[in-house]
Amino acid sequence: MSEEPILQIRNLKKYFEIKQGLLSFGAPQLHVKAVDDVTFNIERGKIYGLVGESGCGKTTTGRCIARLEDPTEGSIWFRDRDIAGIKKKQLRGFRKNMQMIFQDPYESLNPRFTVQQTVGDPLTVHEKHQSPEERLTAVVKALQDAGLKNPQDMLERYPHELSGGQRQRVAIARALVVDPLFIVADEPVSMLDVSIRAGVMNLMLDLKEKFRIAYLFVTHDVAIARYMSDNLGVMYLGNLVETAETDTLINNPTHPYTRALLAAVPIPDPDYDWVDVPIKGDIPSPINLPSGCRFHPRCVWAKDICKEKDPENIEVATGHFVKCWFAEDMYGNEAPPPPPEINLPNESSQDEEIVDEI
Amino acid sequence: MPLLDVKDLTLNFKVKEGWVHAVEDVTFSLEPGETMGLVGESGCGKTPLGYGITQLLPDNAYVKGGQVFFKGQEILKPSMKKDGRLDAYTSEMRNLRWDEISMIFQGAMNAFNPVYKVGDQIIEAVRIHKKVTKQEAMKRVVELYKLVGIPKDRINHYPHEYSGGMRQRAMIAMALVHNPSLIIADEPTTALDVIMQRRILTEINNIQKEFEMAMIIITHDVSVVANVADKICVMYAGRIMEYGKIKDVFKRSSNPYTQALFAGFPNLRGERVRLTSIPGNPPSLVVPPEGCRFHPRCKHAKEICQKEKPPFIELPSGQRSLCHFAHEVQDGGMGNE
Repeated sequence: MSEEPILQIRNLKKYFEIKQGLLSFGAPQLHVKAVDDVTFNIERGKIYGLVGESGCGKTTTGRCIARLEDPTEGSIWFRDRDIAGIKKKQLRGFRKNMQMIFQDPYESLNPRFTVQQTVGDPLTVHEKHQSPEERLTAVVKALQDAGLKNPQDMLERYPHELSGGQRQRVAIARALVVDPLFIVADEPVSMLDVSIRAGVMNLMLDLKEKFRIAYLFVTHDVAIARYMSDNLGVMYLGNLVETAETDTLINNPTHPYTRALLAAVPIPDPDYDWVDVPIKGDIPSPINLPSGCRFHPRCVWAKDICKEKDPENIEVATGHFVKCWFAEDMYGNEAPPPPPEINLPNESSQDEEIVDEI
Repeated sequence: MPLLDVKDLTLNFKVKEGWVHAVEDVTFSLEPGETMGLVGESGCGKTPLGYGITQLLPDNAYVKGGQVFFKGQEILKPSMKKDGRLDAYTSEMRNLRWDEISMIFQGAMNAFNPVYKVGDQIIEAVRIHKKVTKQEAMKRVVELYKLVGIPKDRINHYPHEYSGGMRQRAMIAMALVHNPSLIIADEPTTALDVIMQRRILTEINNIQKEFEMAMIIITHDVSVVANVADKICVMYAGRIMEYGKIKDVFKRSSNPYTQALFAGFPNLRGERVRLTSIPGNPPSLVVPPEGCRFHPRCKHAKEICQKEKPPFIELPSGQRSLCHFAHEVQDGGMGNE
C-alpha cells in the first residue's frame, strides 16, 4: 500500500507576531502559534485530508507547504530537497510541481482574464519556450481534463459568465496545466452547491488516479474529508493531534478531540441516534494557549499530567499517531472510562446582581 | 387543527429582467411541536418561503396566490395590498411576530445591532410585546441566557465581544422571549463548527420539547435535517419536490431530485460509496423550464416531463411527490437511464 512520500513535513511551525500599540513598548512580543510542531507525510498519488475547526491552523499549514507563507521553523521535504527556507526565486522551479486550488472560485479567478488567459498563465512562467499553438493545445487539454465539455467554447469566456462549478473546474484546470505532482486544495468545494459539489470531488479523485497527483485537502467537513482522503490528520489549536489512514481514524478515533469531533458530525440517516459529544467549554484564545496539552481544559478525560506537560506523539498502531498522554488507554474500540460529569460554566451566581446593575 | 397551514402559496419578485418565480404553489402544514426541515440548494426559494410566512419580504415581493393559516386564522390577507405586496407593518402581523412566530436569522453576526448591548436588544424585544419594567425584562433575559448556556455576565456586552457560537445562541434566546409556538430558523448553524452546531441543535431541541414549540429549519444540509426534523420538504427551483415524514423521504424517496440530492451527500458512517452529482446547473427562476422544472437535469425525464407540470402525487407511504412517475421512481422501476 505504502508509496514513497512525495512530501515530508517535519516539525513545521508558523508563528504570527501580534502588532502591539505604542503603550506596550517593552512588553514581550506576543505570538499566535497558528501551526506548532506539525509532522506528517504525503505519499505520491494519495490525498492527505487535514480537518479541524476554524482557527485550528489547517489553512496556514497548507499555505506554508505551498510556500505562500514563510514557515517560522521546521522543514518541508519535497522529494529530496527542503523547501522550507529557500528563496522566492528558487521557488519558481518548485511551483511547477506544486499548485494550489482555493476555496472561493469567485475570488480566485482574475475577473479581467478570459479562461484561456487564466489557464494559460502558469505556462507563461513555467513553459516559456512553448509556441502559442502548443500553449493553446495544453490549455484545451487541461480544460478537458478538468471535466469541462466543449473547452473550445470556454476559451474566450470571462469568470462572470461561468457557473460556480465551472469556475472551480477552471481553477482546477489552471493547476493541472503544468502537470503538477502535488496540489494544495483549501476547502475547494465548500462554496459549491450540493448537486455540483459531488462532481468536483469526483473529478479530483479521478485526476489523482489518472495522473498520480497527490493532494493536501484542507476542509472543515469531516464527512467530505473521509470521502476524499487516503490519510487523515486532525488539527486542534495548531497541533496535529491525530493522524492515520482514513478508515482507521474514522473507525478508531483515539485522541479525545477526534472522538468529540467525529461524534458531533451529523449523519444523513434518520435512524441514526445522536451520540454524546465528549467535550466541554469553548476553544480558548490562540494567544494564551493552555499549559501542557492544549486540549486539556476541554478534555473530559484530562488528568494532572495533561496540565503540566505537552504530550508526545505516540504511535498506537503502524502509521497511527496520537498526541495524547493516554493514547494507549484510549486506543481500541471499547468505550474508554466514562467521562466525569460535565460542569456548565458560571452556574453559581446571583441573578439579582445583574438585575440591580441596570 | 394544524398550527400552520400553507396552501398553494406563490411568491414572485419583480426584477429588471421580469418576474422571479421564487415560490410556486407551495402547500404544507405543521402541527404544534413539530419540526420540519426545509431543504434545497441556494436559490431554490426556501428562504423566501420562510420569510413569506413571517411577512418579512422586501418591497419587490408580490403574493400571487395562496393562503397561510396560523392557528386557524388567515394571516396573509389582512396585510395584503391591492397589488399583492405585503404591508410589513399591519397590526395583526406585528402582534404575531415574535410573540407567536419568531425567527432565528442566518448569520447572527449581522442580525444584532453592533452599537447596542446584546442584553438591551433582547430587553427591547421583551418590552415591545409585554408591559413590563426593565428589571422584569432583565429577569427574563437572565432566564433565557441560562437556557441557552451563555454566562450571564455577558448580558451587558456588545455583539462584537461575543464569539460566533455565542451570538447564535443569543439570537436563539431572543427568538424565545415570548415562548412562541413557531420558530423559523434560517440556516441557524451554517456558519458554525460542528461541535458548536451540535450543541446549538441540542439546545433548540430541548427547548422545543419543553415548550411544545414547532420549528421550520431552513438548511441546505440534509444531514442536519435527518437528525432534528419530523418532516421534510425538499424544494427545487421554487417548487416543493417531495414532502413527507422524514423516514419515508429518506428511506423510500419517490422523487428523482430528492434521490439525486441525497446521492451527492457524503456520509461519515457506512461504506464509502461513490457520490453522484446532478448534471447541469439549477435553472434561472426568471425563465424556469417548462413542465417539470427539474426535467433538464433528470435522468428519468420523459416527453411528458418537458410539457406538463407534474401533479403532486400522494403515495401509499404517505409522502407527496411532484413527479409524473412518483410510484415508479419509488419502486426503482425507472431503470437507470
